[in-house]
Amino acid sequence: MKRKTILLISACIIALSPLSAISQTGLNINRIFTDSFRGKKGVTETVLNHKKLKSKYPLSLYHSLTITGHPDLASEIEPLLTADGAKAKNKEVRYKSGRLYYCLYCLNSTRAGQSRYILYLNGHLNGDNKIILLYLEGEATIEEVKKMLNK
Amino acid sequence: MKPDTPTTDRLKHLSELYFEGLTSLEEEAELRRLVADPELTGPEADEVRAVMSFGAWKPTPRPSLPARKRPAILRLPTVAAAAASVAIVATVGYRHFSGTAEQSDCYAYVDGHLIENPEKVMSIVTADLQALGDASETIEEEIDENLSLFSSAMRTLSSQESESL
Repeated sequence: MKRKTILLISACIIALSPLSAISQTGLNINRIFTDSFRGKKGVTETVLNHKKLKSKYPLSLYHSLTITGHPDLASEIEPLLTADGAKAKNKEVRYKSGRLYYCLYCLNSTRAGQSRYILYLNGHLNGDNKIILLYLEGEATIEEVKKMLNK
Repeated sequence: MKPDTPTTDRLKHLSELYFEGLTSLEEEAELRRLVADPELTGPEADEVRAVMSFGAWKPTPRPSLPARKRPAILRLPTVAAAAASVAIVATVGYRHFSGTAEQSDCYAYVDGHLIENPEKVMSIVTADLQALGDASETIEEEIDENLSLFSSAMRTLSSQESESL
């Protein structure tokens, strides 16, 4: 009876496991990857999964939001980033004029052992007209992520 | 009441003899064989069985009203197994049959317009990474510059201390 109970519980966990495989869930930045942002003019959302990425990068997911011409949105994005960054195990952060200019957060790995990264750039603080938010997932180390940026 | 058969007649005769203590060993053995037959029912058979220590034998049931149907009680393991099966099938089915653009290998929404051309999508990716890379490189250069300024200042302080001594 005890063995049957364990098997049933395992079956329930396996059945629900696909939900937990969506590793971007649980992050505050998910509120940015929503229609309220992507529906605005000047916003580009890009998604690539493993098939398209593996030939170039050691990643399984690339998910970005680029916002052009909306400097005001940075004030909505920053607190969500800061909340996620508080849980980061590695971080590189740069502020300019009291505002978040750039960050690279290395978050805790997923259950499947995939590394997770959040990158952010507020170009408005450097004469550019663009905000970029990037979520990466995959086997890349933080050094490999930086190499990707500097190619 | 069941009509008498040769077997039941024999049972009655032998049980009468038995209770009067007049059965031979062969007749008593025959009586035991008769009452061991579950097909043989009736008060005479039950009485002999009770005396002959067939205590586990149930008496002939009285005709009774049909039992009320009780609602099926589903045991928790059964319910859990059914729920797990449904969840597995639903998850697999959704992931297999939900063929929206979001399930494809790569796509981008630009000003609300869907782009699925891989080359165009990759060009967007390259541009994003380039912008982030430029910022990152600039930051690293500034850090190197600041650290070298610190280093230079510390060397100056150290040499001034040596001179004062």
